[in-house]
Amino acid sequence: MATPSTQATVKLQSNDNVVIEVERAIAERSVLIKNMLEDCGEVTDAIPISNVNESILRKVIEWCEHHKNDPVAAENENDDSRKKTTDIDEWDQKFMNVDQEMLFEIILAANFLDIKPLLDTGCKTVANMIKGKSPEEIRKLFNIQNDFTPEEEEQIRRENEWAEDR
Amino acid sequence: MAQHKHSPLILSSLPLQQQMSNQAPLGPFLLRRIALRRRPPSRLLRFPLELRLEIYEFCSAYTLLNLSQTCSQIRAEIAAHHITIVYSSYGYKRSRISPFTIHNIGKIRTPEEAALWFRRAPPDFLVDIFGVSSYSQKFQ
Repeated sequence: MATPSTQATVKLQSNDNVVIEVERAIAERSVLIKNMLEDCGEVTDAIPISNVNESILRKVIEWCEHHKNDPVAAENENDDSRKKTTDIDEWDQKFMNVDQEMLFEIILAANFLDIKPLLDTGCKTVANMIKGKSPEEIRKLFNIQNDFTPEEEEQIRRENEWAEDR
Repeated sequence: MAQHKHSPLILSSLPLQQQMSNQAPLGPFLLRRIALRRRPPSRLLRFPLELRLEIYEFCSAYTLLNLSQTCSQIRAEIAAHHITIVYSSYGYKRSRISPFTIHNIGKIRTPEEAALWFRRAPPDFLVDIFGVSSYSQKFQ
């Protein structure tokens, strides 16, 4: 007697129509897929992941494989402590060592698939790229145009000024 | 029912894409020009706001201050979420003088930030940030 939860693998289809078969436990790191499987029972067709292309989907699956035994965090409890630290474990740091475009794609995919720990790791990686950079260096890093008016520039100059307090 | 009488007013039953390709060439051309002008070239700025906010939440107060001085969009976003993001950020210090300036930086978190601080701040304020409290109390 096959119950829905005994299904061992699921097929995921990227938006460029590549079907990837993964262990159900790995796919269920994604809350979106987990809920879908719980609602639908056994799914034999490939699940379309419409927002994610093959290379990003494979990358996300690689992360899920490595983290498949991680405890699922009780989200509400440690929501505050989650934000405090920007530490990223070594494997994740290597995993996130990709070009900026891919990093942003991974974050978007993690958000779409609802994989909170991967989303956090991606956002932390971007935050770590920004830290210790001056506004000009941040602009260069992300190709941001300086669109401040002279008045705003003056205000910013005052924001960085120390003397008035003394 | 009355709606149906007006159906001849609908110009075409073709799918939207076909309708658009049947347009005079200037239509799509202008639309694209407008879209390009409106779209900021930066990948970070084209990110959904909710995800940028997630990133801001991992930033310390000092990093947020530097971020808020990069462009008007990020500046407005950080200002709009001052209470949820800046107040709760690492190292934020409330100040009588201002909502968010260099005076609100009470602590910095990493060697990278310390290096930037050394590059930009006048020397006598360096003591303050590294926790010599008697020094900072003078200015409270």
